[in-house]
Amino acid sequence: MTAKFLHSFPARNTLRVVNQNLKMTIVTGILYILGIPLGMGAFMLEMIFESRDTPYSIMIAPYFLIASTCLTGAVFMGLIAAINSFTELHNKTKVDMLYSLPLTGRQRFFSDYIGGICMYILPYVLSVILGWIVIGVMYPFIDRESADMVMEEGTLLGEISKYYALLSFGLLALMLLYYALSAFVTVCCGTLFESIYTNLLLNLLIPGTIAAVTGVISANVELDFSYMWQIIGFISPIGGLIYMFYIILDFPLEFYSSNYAISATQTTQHEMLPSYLRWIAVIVAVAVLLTIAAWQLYVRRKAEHVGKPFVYLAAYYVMLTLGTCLILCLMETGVVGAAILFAAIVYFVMEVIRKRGFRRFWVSLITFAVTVGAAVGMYLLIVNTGCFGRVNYVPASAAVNSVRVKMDLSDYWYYHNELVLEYTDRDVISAVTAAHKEIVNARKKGNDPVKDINQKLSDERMYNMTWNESDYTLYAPDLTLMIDDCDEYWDTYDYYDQSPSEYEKALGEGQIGDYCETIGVQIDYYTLTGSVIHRSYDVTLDEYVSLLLAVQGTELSAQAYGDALKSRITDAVEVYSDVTHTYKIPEKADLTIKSNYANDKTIQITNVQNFIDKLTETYVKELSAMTAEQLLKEKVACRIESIPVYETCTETLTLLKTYGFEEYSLMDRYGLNSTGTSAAAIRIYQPGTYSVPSMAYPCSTSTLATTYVKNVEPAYEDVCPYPASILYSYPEMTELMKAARTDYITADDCYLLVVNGNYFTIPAEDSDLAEAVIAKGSGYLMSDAFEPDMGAYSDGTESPYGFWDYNSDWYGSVGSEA
Amino acid sequence: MMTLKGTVKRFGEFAALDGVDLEIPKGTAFGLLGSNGAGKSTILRLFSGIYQAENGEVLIDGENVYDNVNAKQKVFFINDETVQFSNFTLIQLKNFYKQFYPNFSEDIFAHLQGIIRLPANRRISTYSKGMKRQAIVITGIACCTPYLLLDEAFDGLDPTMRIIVKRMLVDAMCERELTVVISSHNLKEINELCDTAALLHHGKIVFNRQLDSLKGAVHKVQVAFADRERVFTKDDFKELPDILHFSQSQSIYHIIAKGSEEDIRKALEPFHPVVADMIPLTLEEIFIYELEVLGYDSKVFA
Repeated sequence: MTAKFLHSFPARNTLRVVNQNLKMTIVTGILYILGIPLGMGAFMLEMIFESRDTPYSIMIAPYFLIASTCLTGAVFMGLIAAINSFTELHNKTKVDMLYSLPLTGRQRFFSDYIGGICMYILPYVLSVILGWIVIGVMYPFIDRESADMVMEEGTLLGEISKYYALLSFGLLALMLLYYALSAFVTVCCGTLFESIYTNLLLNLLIPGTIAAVTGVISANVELDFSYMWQIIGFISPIGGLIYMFYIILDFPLEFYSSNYAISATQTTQHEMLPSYLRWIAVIVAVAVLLTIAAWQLYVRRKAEHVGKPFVYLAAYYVMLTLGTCLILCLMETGVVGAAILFAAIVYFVMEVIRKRGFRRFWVSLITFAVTVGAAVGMYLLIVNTGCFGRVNYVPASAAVNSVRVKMDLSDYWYYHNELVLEYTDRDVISAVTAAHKEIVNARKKGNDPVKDINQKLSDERMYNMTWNESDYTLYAPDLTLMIDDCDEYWDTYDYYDQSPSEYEKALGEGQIGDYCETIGVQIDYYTLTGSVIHRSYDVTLDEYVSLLLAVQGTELSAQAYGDALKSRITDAVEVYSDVTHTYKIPEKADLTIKSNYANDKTIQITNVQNFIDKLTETYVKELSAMTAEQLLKEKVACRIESIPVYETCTETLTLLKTYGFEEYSLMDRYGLNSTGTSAAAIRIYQPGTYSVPSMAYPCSTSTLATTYVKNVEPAYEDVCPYPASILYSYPEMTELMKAARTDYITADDCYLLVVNGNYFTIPAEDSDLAEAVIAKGSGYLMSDAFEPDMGAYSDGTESPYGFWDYNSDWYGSVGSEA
Repeated sequence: MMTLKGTVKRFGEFAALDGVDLEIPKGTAFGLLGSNGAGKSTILRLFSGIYQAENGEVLIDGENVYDNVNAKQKVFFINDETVQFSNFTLIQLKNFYKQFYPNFSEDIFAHLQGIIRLPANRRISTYSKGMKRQAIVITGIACCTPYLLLDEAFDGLDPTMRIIVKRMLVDAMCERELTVVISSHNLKEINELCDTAALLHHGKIVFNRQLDSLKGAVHKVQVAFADRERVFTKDDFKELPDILHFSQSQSIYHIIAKGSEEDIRKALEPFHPVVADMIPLTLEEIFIYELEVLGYDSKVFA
């Protein structure tokens, strides 16, 4: 059949199309040449300057601007190419000439179609080849020995070539899609005007409306629609362009999220290149489908339809519906009437243009009412049914090929880290789906466990008192982000001295503060059918722990921690070699390992590679032996680049000690030993008054060191300018600090220790240590109000912390409201 | 042979052809006559495979034309516009059609171009209307298709060039049995060139005959009767079966009727005509009187 087709293919008609549009082809070619080879030239020039550390003698940015503008223009020529190729579809004078030629409809369509591709794609291919030549000519001028140009893997030329090729093929696929869509639209329209504006509008409306509608729905349905972008990227040229640049090429970053990710996978299905190639294949497939659809419509289209605005009304109504829905999305902002009026104006103007008048206008009124009704109805249906049950849908574990779980570890660890694990293991998949079902069940019928917690905390006047660790500053309950954002920090300064009740007033009548620290988790199922089910939630502590128990304590998670440990140490010690022009791990290195208990302890290590390998191997082996439950409670002995080494990892700790590391106590970490100069502010909250009940309630089974503090006085509080003397006076305090845990999750009643704003949980079995300190220091319970603005106590004693002291005044005000 | 069998072609609600049967034998010079919107151009476009009939058949040498390369290669259609060729030069136009019509004759093209001496390398858009028409006509003839369809083909040609083009067509008909189908409102040209003609009105064929027999089949009679006192009406002449026109001016009656001269004279005999002059009808008169019978009458304006 193919041979028959090729044999009967009228190349002469294709040549006619090309010949008649030679000028356009030349213009397209010039635009491509200005776009691609010029762009590559500017890029290579920038690399040359960068490699030679030379200040730019030529302004490169304008060339990039010219290149991108020309490339955009050239890509846009796809529409012109399609319209010019199918000139008989909108030009009455050409109908007799071209339809009377001895060609079948199929031959005419494909010869026209290929003629357009020749005009549109061939100049592009030529420009890409020229781009390769530019790379080849300019590459030798790059100083490849420059540190900036040395690749960790592969060669610079290889990397440039790889990305150039990927972009070239990606763009080619998108151009084919754009051309196919343009051809499809041209076949559906009977005039030049309709062909152009329908093409432009559809290209904008497909991604625009899907994104807007998705945004509106996702604001009202607890479902993560971010994967909708993938769909847009597959069916729309503009969406595809965004997808290509921001998702596909950033895929490794997207998968691992950040440098802080601790990640491992049992599958290779998400590697960038296969995904990219798959995307290209889908784009080409969509282009082929559009081409087939255009062909079928073309051969069914009658010659006399030329001049009719829309030969096939489906394209018009798709455009009209998309446009109406896009405008109706404004209803989400509350301007319902204005949105409907605006949609009506646009709708009727489009109808008048199509009908070239007001003929049968009542039909337009009815179709508009139906369109709005259908759009609003569909929206309400989606919202009220939880997107037809998708919100509550958890796939059967048997239907899942792999599951990827991404969890924020920041709260758990006090360090910014996230865990990304992907399993094909059936047991883990089952455990994750079970944990997921718990999350879903807790949110059924409009329930919001996070909101419920906040409501209860608010009602019972329990507040999450978090401290700005670095500044020793108390801050308002829901301003956690301030830690990372200095500007916001200052902006929200006014809240610092507010009592919780004042803070609530500041929030506004009837509002509830976000007292409960929620944790973001993301679950992605890759099903056996190839679909992806993507969900993300803000979960409560209970839910978080369930999920953590499902994915931790496995060989894969141990491997993830091991890999993270290895790569972080490698990053810290590797040096650039002027001889080999590569980064290498040195034979000797001064290794500074920041642990939780020891700050910047530096030791010299010989045979660094051996050290890293041995350490990683030992660590992974020991971590693999730990259960998920153990990991929740086990005491962290030290941290290496924020990766925890637990006390049960005895071989690892022994190995570290042989290299000169010493265990440090919490006293050292927080500067509370005799040599420390920092002051200490110490509070101890008793179980039942502060923490465990409040932590356990409403998080009924688990407790984190980060906790909710009820507005009660602490059992013990000391703000002392001379901590050393006190601490030495109280060896009980030293003992208590040894027992204190930063990473600890339990359902038991525990004491809470707060030292200089840092929260520690005292395991229930060490409660006696806390009680000993309370007994010893009972006479020191601070009740004297601190004058925050004066930086001194009422008795005139100067505060060691100055203005930024957390202060008992604040605390006192809370207490007084009790 | 070109054949329409019960052909129906609609444009929306409007039936341009309503069950037309027509046969055009090979080698014929066929004229399509008709009122505006009668369906003449539609027939040409059906035969050239541009339009698809909703019902019935459109055949060329027994093959359906629509979407049939083999059948379409036998037809060359020259419509009443020339804008579509504006971007071509004459040479490009020739080369363009040469690719599609395997029998294209460079010799014929060169010969015809030599006769009319059109500038070969100038864009056709710079030609006058008549020159454009000449260009496409010589190209069409050079394609050497068995069937040549011309829609208002002589529009814009000066009288000399009309003669030249007609000769070209006649030569081609003589040399290779070319079938020419001409649609025109210029009945004189049809009269001069065609041997057969069909009259269309409202998508139906009113008649389809050889022009000679057509002219012999309709007569205009100026007649005066012996009985001058009597006023004759159309109904008095029942022996004349098909009277297209009947009028009286004093004692002279003007009758246009179908039938042979002999039959008409025989039918008038019983009324004792003192004068009965048979005047031959022109094609234009036949056209007008035939359509008048069907209600297409210029008197409606009066």
